[in-house]
Amino acid sequence: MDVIIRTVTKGIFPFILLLGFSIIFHGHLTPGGSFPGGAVVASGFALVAVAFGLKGAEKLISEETVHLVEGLVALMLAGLILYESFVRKYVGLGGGFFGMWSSPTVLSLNVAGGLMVMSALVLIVFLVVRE
Amino acid sequence: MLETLVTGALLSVIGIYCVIAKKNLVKKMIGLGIFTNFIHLMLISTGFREGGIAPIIIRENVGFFAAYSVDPLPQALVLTSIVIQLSVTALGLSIAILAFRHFNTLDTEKMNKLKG
Amino acid sequence: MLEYLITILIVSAFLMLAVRRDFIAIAAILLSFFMILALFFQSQIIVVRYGGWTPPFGIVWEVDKLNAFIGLIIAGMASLVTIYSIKCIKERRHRFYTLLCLMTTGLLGVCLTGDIFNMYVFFEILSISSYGLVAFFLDKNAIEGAFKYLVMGSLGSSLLLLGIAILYGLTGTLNFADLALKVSHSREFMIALGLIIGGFCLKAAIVPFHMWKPDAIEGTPIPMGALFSTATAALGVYGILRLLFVFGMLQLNLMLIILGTITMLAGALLALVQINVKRMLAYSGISQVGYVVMAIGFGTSAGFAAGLYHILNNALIKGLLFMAIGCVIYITGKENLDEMGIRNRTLLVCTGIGVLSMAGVPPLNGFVSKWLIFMASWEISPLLTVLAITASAITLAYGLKIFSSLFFAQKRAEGKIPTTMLVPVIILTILCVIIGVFPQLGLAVVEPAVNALLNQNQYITAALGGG
Repeated sequence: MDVIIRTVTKGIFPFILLLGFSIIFHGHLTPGGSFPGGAVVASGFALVAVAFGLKGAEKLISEETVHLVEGLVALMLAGLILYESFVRKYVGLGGGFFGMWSSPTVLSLNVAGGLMVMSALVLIVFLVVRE
Repeated sequence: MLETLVTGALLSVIGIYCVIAKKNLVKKMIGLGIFTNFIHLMLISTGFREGGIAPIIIRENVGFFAAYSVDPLPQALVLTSIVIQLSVTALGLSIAILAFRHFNTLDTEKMNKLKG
Repeated sequence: MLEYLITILIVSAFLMLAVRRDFIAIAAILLSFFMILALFFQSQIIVVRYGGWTPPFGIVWEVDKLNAFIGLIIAGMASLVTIYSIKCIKERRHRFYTLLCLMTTGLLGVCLTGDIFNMYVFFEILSISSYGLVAFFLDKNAIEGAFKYLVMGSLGSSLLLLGIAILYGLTGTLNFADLALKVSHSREFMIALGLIIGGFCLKAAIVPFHMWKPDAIEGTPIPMGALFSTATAALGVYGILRLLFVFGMLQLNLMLIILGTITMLAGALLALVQINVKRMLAYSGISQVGYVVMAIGFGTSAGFAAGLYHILNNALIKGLLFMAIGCVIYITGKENLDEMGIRNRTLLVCTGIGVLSMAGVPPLNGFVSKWLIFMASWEISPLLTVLAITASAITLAYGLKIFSSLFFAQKRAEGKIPTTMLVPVIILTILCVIIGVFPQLGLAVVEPAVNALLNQNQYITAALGGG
């Protein structure tokens, strides 16, 4: 695509990822959570796919990596449920690191859901751009 | 209240008209999206309260929140439903792409003639 | 234990995508079948409060005998389909198993939950994975069937959501037990009930909403055709029953009787003129669900017992016929009735038992449930009995048409059917014969479900009262 779009994408893509992951990780404190955060991260990848074509996007994140992320989400969910049933000895660690560890369950669920939404939307974008 | 119902009626009629009467596959998906958005608006409007504030709670305003905010439960339901609509639209557009590869057109009347 | 059920299915679905080994999905679905079997033999209502939140503020899963009965049908059919499709689906099998795991999640979730929005979410999981499964073969028939099913199915789910929105706006709660305490029979509640029942009727393929089913089953793989005609139809009927139960309207219902009768006759007549065997079996499935809806509309406990018994028999018979036809298509590769001759003694016996049972011939299970439907309809109106007997005669006609064009054709093909495809067919045949010769076994399964259906107080106190 155009050189302006490619240059701007190269500059702004990390900040889109940062915004998306911040929405995911602060899902239990500010509005947002897994769904909007995952959508923002996926829109960053969609921008790269539109600006650089499918080859450039594949250099950034390949389809195999996306499938591995989905498997990782599965293991994370399974581990979380086992933890909640058998290991849970403390109620909440309260505060800590800008208030993020105040609710470990919701944080883990947000991260898992955000990764899942991101991988699903990235796969859909790659499917549509493949023409 | 009346504005909600009139808007809802208009949106639902437009949505269903697009699904039924338009021949292009992509326009049918757009109509489906309009109809689903109508239902989301109806769902959010069930939680309306006169002079209400947005349901965001911070440590200092719990009493004020309980007395004045709009109902946050339908907003959570609509968040879930928006993601479901997203999946259905994505799936429908993928099927439209596959149909274009087979029939080389997106027009349902031409597709009917092609099958015989 | 109940909360691990859905976890196992969803986690295995994600793992299937990453690891691509089939045994994960097969193990997960078989494990879920055994868990539902263990749930079925509990004596009291099981209530699971998620996160410890008490209803009506939290999501609760409540399993009484009706849920366990329908769950048993669904899990049983899903596990038989899983075993069947080891050999039947030849390529991209791991994607098929992923979608099948998600579809089983959706089916079991709608069946076991006690919260109406949770039911909508699982209903959508079921719908979306079934759109993907209809379009599995990616050829012209599949794409056309999938698009029609997607548009109609989305409209049906939107009707369901609109009904839920109206119910929430009127009562302020989303729990089944709490709704049962708060609904009245005024006009706004009837609108909501009509919309929600319309959404479930579309899933069960009752006549004004059945247009998606023949095209979808024509395009989809045979194991999915079996699952659509048995498990999804059972789920649609369960949804209608549960909503009528919550509203306290389990009485003589003229609308359901009319819809059921029209479905019964239209399905049978349309099945008679088909050439493609998959479409014929699809219309036949629509007709059998019409019997069930008509029996539920009677409102007497005899009617409910007849309807629920016929759902069980429909699952066994339709599963048997679809899988047997799948074996024939595996050998001959053709789907039109003119070209499907085959010479195989096991399939001859199994298809013969299936066709005779569908028509209602005595020592088989179809006879028991059809007899119960005839007896229940005689008390309401003899005209309904005459119409039901007519539809049974037409069922016998197209059943014999299938049987004769399979086994008495001019040229008959020979071939070897894989064992994993024959084993579910033989299991279903043996179940048909056993339930036909000993109908007390079937009634021992159906009677507790009918008692749970008529007993609203027990359901409410188990959810809201207990600690």
